[in-house]
Amino acid sequence: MGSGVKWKSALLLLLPIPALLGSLFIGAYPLPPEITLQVIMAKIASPFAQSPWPQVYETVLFEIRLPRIILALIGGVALSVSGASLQGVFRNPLVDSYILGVSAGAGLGAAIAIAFLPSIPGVTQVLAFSFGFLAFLVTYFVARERGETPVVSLVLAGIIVTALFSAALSMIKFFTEAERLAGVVYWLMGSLAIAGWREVAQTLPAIGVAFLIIFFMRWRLNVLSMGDEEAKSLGVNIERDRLIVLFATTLMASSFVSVAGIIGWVGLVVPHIIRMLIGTPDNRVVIPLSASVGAVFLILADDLARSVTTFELPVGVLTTVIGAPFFLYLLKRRGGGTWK
Amino acid sequence: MLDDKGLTKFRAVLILAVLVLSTIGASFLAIRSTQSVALNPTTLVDMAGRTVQIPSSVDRIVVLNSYWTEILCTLGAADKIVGIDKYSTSSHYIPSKVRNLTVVGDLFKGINIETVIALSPDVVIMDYGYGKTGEIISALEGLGIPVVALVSRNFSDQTTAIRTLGKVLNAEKSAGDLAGFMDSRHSFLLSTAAWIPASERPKVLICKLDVWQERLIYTYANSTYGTLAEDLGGINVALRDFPDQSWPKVSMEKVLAWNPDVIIVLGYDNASLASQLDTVSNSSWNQLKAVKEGKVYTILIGSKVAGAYLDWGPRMILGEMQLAKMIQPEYYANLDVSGAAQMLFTQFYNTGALSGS
Repeated sequence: MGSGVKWKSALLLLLPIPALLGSLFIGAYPLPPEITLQVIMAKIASPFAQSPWPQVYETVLFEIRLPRIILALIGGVALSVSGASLQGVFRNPLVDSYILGVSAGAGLGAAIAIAFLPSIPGVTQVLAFSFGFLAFLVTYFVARERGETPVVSLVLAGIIVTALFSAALSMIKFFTEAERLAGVVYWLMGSLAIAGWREVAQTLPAIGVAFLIIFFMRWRLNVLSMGDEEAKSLGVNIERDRLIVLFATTLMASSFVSVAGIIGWVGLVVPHIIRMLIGTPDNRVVIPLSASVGAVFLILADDLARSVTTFELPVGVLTTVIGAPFFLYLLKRRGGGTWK
Repeated sequence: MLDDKGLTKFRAVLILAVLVLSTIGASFLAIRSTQSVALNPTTLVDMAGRTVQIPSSVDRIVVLNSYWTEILCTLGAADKIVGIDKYSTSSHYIPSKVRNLTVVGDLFKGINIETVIALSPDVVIMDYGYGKTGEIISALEGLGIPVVALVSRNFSDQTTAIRTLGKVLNAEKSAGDLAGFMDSRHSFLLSTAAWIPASERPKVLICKLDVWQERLIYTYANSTYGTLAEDLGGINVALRDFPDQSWPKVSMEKVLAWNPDVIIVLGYDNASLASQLDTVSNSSWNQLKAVKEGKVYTILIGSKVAGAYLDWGPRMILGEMQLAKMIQPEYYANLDVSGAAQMLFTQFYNTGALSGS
């Protein structure tokens, strides 16, 4: 690794800090920047002291904006790291966090909860998570044959499971009355407006653990991305390693999807940006940098969702609107880039 | 597989079948048209501005919106309805014998035209202007079934629709009475509000908290209920900020910035209202003026449960009175919502029992 890459990496790894702090200044409540700064400084200096400002300032900054920014950070990490890992496992740059059916499964779970169950906080999240994970398990066991799960079978099984779960989702949409149908549709668009400390607490442990698993396996990801034959020849237990990676990525993606709905393109675009900037597909670098840049990407996208209009835009729609054309630009400019 | 000879035979049978069926169909239509001419039809202009010819005596009605079903029943036509839409089955304000009639579908997801034909209606009553209404109207017209198209956008559409349905049923007298009952109260509400000075108009937020997820707030801006808040002497914060949107979705931060004086939460049933109030009791909401001063109110909307008034149809006037009392309790102090409800239900719904709680 050259020193240029090291500098770039260090810079990229620090980027979430200014993004997080800067985003505290953005929002619908008219808080003057200098006051915001003072409130933040005072909070950092003595977190539990009684503040001289109106209570509502603290509520806006620390009960509404901060948990939302942190959830965006967690989600950015989850989506881009799972995307990068799966791209390694599948040896295909066009794979994202949802290739194994997680989004379709979570969508179905959420729809069942919103359409048929009473609105108790947390029910939607639990069902979305369980169904997301269920979809992954179905995909995995459908693809498994004689103790092996070839990548091609996984892709095909993922497509089939996604199709089945989506069909079931359409069925539920059709039988849902208009009011609740609106809830299902909004959920599917993906939004961080639900973010509170409770959602942060719900997602942080699982995503944190899964991230650590991937982080410590990142060199094995390089081996997995060489292809089965080569990996076997290096004496790696590819079945076990692959299952661990798939499990961890699913844990990340479905935890986050369960609270925020389906937010697309982050897992696809961010790892590509990293590979382009650093010029290597080496997962030892790509994984940590994807985490950091993914966090920044989703934080900034959500800043837009909160501030472009004074009403709420679904951030899932924004990431697609930003992500898809950007991805096209990358492909055109790089002609396939480091993957070719 | 069929051989050549078999295929020719098959074709011949097919052609014959088509010929027979179309002859039957054509003569059926011919009989229909001679019948309706013989009955000396009434001509009326519906709310879409279409000139419609209907039989002078309408005995079989298919109705595709629950509020029009409700109005038909208040005008004494419950026995003439032969087919309904899906939403009519869940209305508390429609007699159960009507709720149990054949369901032909609904205007969002489509209706089964064959079922409608089988019911041989003299007229179909339905909304126009959204969803699948356009296709349905032209399909029914193509089959020679008259359609009276109505619309609900605001209060005055309700009384216009009531009078139009009065013409359809030859019940113009009772339609006039019902429309009059509503109009007189409506104009009283508006003329009272017109006197209220700007300084005494509170900032009002009308919202639902259970449409998206708990923390995203679904507000009523440039919508029927949203504009009502202004007409009844309030300042609708959502409408002022989003004049071009019907139901903008905002975050808690926006609500804190608005800091409304009065919050009105809408819900289709009591469980929904209770869970929404539960949301309002959390810490961020506690900083709002309306919450601190105990000015958070709930209104049941729709037609699912007893006591729900704010809805399309005759009950809308009761809902307006409820809203008025919440926004301007002093100016509307003498307004008696339950008395008016009692009157409406005994006079037009043939039972006082419907008024419920």
